[in-house]
Amino acid sequence: MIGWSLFVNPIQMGVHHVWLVLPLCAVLAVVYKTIRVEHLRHLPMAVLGLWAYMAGGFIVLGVAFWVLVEYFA
Amino acid sequence: MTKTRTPNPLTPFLAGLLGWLIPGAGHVYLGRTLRGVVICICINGLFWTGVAIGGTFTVEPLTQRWWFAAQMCTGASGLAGWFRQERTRTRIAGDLGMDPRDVVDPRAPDRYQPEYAQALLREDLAVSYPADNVARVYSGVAGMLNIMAVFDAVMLAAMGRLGEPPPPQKKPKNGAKAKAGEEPK
Repeated sequence: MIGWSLFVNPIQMGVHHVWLVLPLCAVLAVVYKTIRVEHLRHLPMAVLGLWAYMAGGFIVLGVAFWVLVEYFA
Repeated sequence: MTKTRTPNPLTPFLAGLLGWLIPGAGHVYLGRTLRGVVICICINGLFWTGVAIGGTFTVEPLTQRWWFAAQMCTGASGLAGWFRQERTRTRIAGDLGMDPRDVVDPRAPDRYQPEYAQALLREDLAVSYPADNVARVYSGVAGMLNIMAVFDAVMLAAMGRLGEPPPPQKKPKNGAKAKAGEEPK
């Protein structure tokens, strides 16, 4: 290795990379709602609602899979 | 304010082309400037965050074709990522005395030739789990979001809806209607 530089060499990631799904959901919510909302002043609340909906969905899925693995596997 | 005009057959094409080339530019072209700026920041930011995580080989046309197709939907950013990867691949293959198009193992199309893979490891360019997943999902999802933005820009242009819609009208108070309007006799 000659020297590490951003945008050229990959970042070493640990086990916590799963949390990166949250900013991904946030960007997804912002772009989707920017296109969908009729008036831009409704954008922050619409984005927050969609982001919470997606994050909540992931939490429910995670708990469901954890229960499945822990008690039924 | 939204202006509805007779659709110009070139406007949807231009809006789509601009929206693909620079995410959000299609919306700016249609007079939805703030929406365009938000889309541009989000999609380009997501793509380059992916490249920052995975490095040059996040964009990989030879072994990750589906992700590559999604990444190319980000327009100029995707093309820049492809150019950087192509240049690095050509340099490394040249150093090894290989043809840059023959760096993939013919027996396993999703793997590199062993000597090329070793060279990537030596230069710390090989993307491995979990960085490869995160990087390609970020940059690929950016491309898929831009498809949605381009589609929206093309549809708005085809319908002749230019500019932001007018602000919602406030409901008149109980007494206001009686004062302003006259009851027909």
